[in-house]
Amino acid sequence: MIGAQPAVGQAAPREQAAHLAPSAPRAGASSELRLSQVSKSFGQLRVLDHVGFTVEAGQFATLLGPSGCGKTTLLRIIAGLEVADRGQVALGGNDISALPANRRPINTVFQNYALFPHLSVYENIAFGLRSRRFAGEQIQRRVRDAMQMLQLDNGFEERYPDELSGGQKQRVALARALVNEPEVLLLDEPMSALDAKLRAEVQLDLRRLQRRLGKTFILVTHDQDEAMTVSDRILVMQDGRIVQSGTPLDVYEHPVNRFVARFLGLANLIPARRGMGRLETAFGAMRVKHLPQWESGTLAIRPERIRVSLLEPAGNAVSGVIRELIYRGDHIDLFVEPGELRARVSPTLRLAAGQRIWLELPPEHLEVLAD
Amino acid sequence: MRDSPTILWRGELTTRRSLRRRGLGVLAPALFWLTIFLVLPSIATALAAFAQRGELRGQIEWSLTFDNFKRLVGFGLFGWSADHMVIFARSVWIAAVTTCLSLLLAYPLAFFIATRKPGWRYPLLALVMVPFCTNIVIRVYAWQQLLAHDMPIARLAASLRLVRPGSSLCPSTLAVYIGMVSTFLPFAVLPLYASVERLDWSIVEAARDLYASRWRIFRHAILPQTRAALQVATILAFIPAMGTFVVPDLLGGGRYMLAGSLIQQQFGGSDVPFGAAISLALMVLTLGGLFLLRRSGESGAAAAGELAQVREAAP
Repeated sequence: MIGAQPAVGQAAPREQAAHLAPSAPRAGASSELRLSQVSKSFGQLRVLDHVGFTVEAGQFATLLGPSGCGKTTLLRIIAGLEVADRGQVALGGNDISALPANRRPINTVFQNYALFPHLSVYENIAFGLRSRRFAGEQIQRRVRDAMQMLQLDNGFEERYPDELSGGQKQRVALARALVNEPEVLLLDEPMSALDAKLRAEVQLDLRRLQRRLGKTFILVTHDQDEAMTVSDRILVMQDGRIVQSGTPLDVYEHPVNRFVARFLGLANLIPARRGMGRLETAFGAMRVKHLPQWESGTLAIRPERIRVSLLEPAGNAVSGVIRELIYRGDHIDLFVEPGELRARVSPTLRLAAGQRIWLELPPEHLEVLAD
Repeated sequence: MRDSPTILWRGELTTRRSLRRRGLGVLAPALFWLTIFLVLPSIATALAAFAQRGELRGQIEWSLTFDNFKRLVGFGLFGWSADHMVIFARSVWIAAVTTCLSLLLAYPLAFFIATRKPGWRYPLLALVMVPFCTNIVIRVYAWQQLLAHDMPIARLAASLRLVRPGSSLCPSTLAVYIGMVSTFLPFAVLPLYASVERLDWSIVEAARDLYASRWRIFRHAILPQTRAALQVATILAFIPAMGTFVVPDLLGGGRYMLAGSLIQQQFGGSDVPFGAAISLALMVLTLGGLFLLRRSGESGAAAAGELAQVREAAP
């Protein structure tokens, strides 16, 4: 069974001249990752429900969802640390569902890094290579290169994990995984142990690293900012299913349902009912891009897409009073009666609480949700 | 009142002196207990070890003499004999073998129990502890009965031609080890269980993710996390095993004279000073051994790790 997939299952060292080199094209080795119909239950609890998606080679994909949505379980199934009840995981066209973790060309950066506490930084990074019995000088070369790539200077080699800061541990964990030249790198909430400022920095570093290496990265996170920053593609998960998948722009601008609209950024959700060529809402009839299938459902609009003016606009117009005005430096948040509508405007506008204003909800930004 | 600087301790402004007083208050009952039942008896033993036995009734005659220790290392009325040294060596050997066997059994057992569903763990642990609640003499007599010639175990051994038909398995070396291991196993299981229950399995998964073989997973992900518990288990099993006398006396048929039995004989036979001297020697020997174990445990572990890396690095 295992022998039938020689290209993937091999644990033998692969000699590559340009190891770790930026996106060295591998002849014919398309390592797209495809999951189909993956389901998993823990006892009575269904954690994953027929999950299927494809991540193209070299893509940075993010599994985004709240805790308990099944994203970590999904990652563990890809890593081979968990076995799916049903479904298939295929890498570059080969079914790897039956391969154990140590036979998959996939490496993981664990949530709390899981560095070996009794091994030095150097030995931590060399661990995977030693497991596969690489030659001594090759190990040395590759570990050095990996450390250099992640800006771990020579002084770190002899340090132990408990002598490192969170950011340093994370880089060691990244080096420890990348030194094995995996086809796919999995990252399980790798920023959760870092403080906010460092996190923003590391997100950029991670994105640049991935672009430079041209490898497939799959990140699990519950932080939508992080997902937006690093990803080529975001897969939004809800209750063990992938509800939406697309570029950050797609997912943010065109959320499919209330869950996605609320989970990524802020959204005004407006209940609506289908009328004659328009949608009836509490704010009056609204024109939209296209009419939905449903009789009654929800419209969504981002606060920054609402236009504020003092004169009545031509399009979908709502008249209201500013109930609350919050100055946020780079923008102003307005809460407008009726309906607690939230609008985000430029801080240069001269507005005051209690003022009557007009809101315009442009049809091109008024998203018709599926629910 | 002398100025004691104000410090912040767990969200409370206080002084070092007041903290110290509070700490003493908390510790007082334990200190009292330890003084009565450990410190004073230890001092008494140490003093008695340098005393002499009264000629008539075997009472203690306080003096400062090294005669007891001379006797201990073998200088008696009839010149030097190795008897006591042999007994000590045998004690160390039997205690060491018992400890090793206990650890070999306790380690997998701890993993077995700690990986059960939470509701099962404590009942299973309780099963390990139950024999521990029975008096040791009763347990040893139970083993004597179980290993007797007409019992199933002996018959099974006979039918497998391991022993002559109709012969008893007790007294024998095997019986001594069975008795010893069953007595000291719980001491080894408890610390190991506590350690395995807290094991960080993500490190095991990291090792699996990094292509490690079963041996490498054990060596680098499991052993380092349980090393401290293994040391504790070794100590907890070894020390009482060194001092035991009931088990080898009853299951070894008197052929297994150990340090514990020797001490017990002295106290029973009214030579308290000599008994005290043997006790003291045993205590010094054990504590010295532990000290060496701890020292080598720290530097030795790192050295062993280095060595393993060097060996693995060689093609």
